[in-house]
Amino acid sequence: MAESTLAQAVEGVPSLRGLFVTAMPDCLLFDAWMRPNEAWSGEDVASYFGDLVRANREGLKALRAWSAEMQVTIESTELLLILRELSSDFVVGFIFEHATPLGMVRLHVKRVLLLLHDILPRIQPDERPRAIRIAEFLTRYAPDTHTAMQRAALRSGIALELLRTPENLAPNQIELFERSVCDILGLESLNL
Amino acid sequence: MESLKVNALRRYLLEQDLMFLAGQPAVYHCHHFNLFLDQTIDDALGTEESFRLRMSAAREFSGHLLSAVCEHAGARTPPERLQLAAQLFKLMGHGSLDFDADLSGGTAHGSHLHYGFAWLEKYGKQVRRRHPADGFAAGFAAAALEIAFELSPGSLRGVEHECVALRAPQCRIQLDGESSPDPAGAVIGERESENVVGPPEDGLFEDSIHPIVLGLKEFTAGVQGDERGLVQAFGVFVTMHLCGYYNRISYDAVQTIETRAPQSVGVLEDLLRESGHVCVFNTFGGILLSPEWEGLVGAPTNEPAKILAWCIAIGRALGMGHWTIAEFEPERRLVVRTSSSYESVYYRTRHGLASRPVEYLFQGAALAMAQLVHRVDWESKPQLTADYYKRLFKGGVPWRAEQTKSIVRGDALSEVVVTKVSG
Amino acid sequence: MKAGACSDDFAERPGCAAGAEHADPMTVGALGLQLGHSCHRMLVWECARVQPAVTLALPDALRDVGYCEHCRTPLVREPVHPREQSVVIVPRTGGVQIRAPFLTPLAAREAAAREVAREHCALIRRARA
Repeated sequence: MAESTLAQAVEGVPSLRGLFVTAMPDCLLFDAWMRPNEAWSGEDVASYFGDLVRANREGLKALRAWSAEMQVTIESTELLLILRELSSDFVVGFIFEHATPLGMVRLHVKRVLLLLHDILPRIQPDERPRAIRIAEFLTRYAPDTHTAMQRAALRSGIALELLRTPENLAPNQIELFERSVCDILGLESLNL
Repeated sequence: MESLKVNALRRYLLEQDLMFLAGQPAVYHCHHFNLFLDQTIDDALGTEESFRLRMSAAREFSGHLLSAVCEHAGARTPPERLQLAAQLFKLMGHGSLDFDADLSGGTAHGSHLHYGFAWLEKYGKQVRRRHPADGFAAGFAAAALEIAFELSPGSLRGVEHECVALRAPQCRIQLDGESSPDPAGAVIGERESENVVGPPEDGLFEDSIHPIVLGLKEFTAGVQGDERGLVQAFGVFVTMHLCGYYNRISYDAVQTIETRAPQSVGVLEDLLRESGHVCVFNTFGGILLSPEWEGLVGAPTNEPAKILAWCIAIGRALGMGHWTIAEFEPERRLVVRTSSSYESVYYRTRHGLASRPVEYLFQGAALAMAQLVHRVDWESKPQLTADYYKRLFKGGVPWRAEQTKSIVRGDALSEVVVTKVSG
Repeated sequence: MKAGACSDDFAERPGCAAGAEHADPMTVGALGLQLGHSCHRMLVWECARVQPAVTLALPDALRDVGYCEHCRTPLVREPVHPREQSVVIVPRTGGVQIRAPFLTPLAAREAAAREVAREHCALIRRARA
């Protein structure tokens, strides 16, 4: 998607510091716009936003309170973050200056989402192999990331070279791989 | 019974820079190394089997240490011996243990236990932990009770049921009879070490290394745990630890994987080397950035030869062996040699000769020194955080290390050659 | 980092949010408090260099306000307060480092260091007078 398209969509929103579009369900960066002086890594930001929304969705479902209109709002001392799902294909993350009034935030979010709805393509993403998504989840969340795959190889007994091409794993190996990732991250299961 | 002073119990093997505590091989390591190594054993064996091995190793070598210390201090009765054990544990920087036990077992309550406390501090916000962390404390506690009541070594075991790393308010270790004690291994003390080490050599920059080593050894003589049992020095949290513990958990794990999952031996050895890398990067780096270092030696510079010499001095002073710089061409090649290492002493004494070089800490440390020397901007006083580490090595490590000589393979000394990877 | 006149007007530069892994330098007056390296986050804070003559007087001044010396070598002085914050002083270079008590919750470490720095600032002013 042309960078200028996103830039056009956010014109007239002076308090916006950045906009990230995450392709779901794989939490991959689809497109991004940010102010020139911002030094964020688009890929990192986009993947965490996707996970946040997914976790939020599952949490609300557990509370029997899920709604298609749900929004994740996070305030820190320096910024205001709004995450919204735009169809099942995309999550959009808005990063505002902290002092932006919430009423203005709602207006801007609504307007930009309408524009993005027309701009963003309708896609039927091929679901990426589960093993690839497990590998990405591991490298995203494991501490000491540079050793994460080695640790998974040691725990699962699967050769490291094979884990580096996870699409080639057999079904029983995927199960072992997933279990090892759960153990490394201290999780009962991975919600992928 | 006199109050314990670590300084009185500490000795170095002459010219070999191997450290002993009441005759037991000992070394200083910080929590980065301790946690990474334990984690590697967990990954290799699974958490339950790993805890049993770590507890057993701790019990075995703590037992030798406590026996010697009790004799040295003239502690004769169970209360005296338990009190001494608790005091020693604190002085070594492992935290506090409070015993509520008798000769059939009981409980040890732990506070500020090094492993659990440090794990929570370092990883607690990133991952959830589901298994207790304090295998060393569990083994030490078991040994303390065995020594206090003159029980057979290995007759008690410690199991940690509550741990701060699992968000419990305190650590609790249950001490019960051991159903299947390990057979005793060969004793490893100063005499056995003397049988293994090679003739010490001088390397490059000895004029600057030697006085720093002396100064550091003098400084660390006064370093011991505070009233909580934590050692704060050089801006890092350090333990005085038992080499036997590190060695047994590493080599027993390798032996198990060689039988059970031989395809995984390579990756296990890589992670054991990585623990050496982690040690040097964090511990040595932290020391170089500390005001203590600035006062004792001087502020770090970006002169590669100086940083390298300083790293070698730190390695010697911490008890890792008589490391020397055999060759150094900045940006091209580094050769580190040693006539002694705590790994080779253990391996040769317990296992004999090895078919391949297995001094993992030494290998990882040599590689890490090349990194520290060339890739860190010391004058900017960076913070050596996990993110910094990740950013620094994101594109891969531009150095390759190969151990070309090895005491455990029968050579007179051990040598690692580190070369720059081209491209 | 520059030495300068101490002031109770603490000018702060933004960026040092509590809990931040990599805080931007934060200035406390002209003392130039900057996050230092430590294995444990936000515990260690480097002060701007002061004249060696001032650092020579600092341990005694800290003792007068309740600090106790844990000195392992005269090259590095380490007064420790009963509340367990410590100040590591390198007399030769004028280097001063504040260490917050390690049991301080993460969110409170910056404030704890700032508290010590204020005290330190007042003592330096007195030492110069």
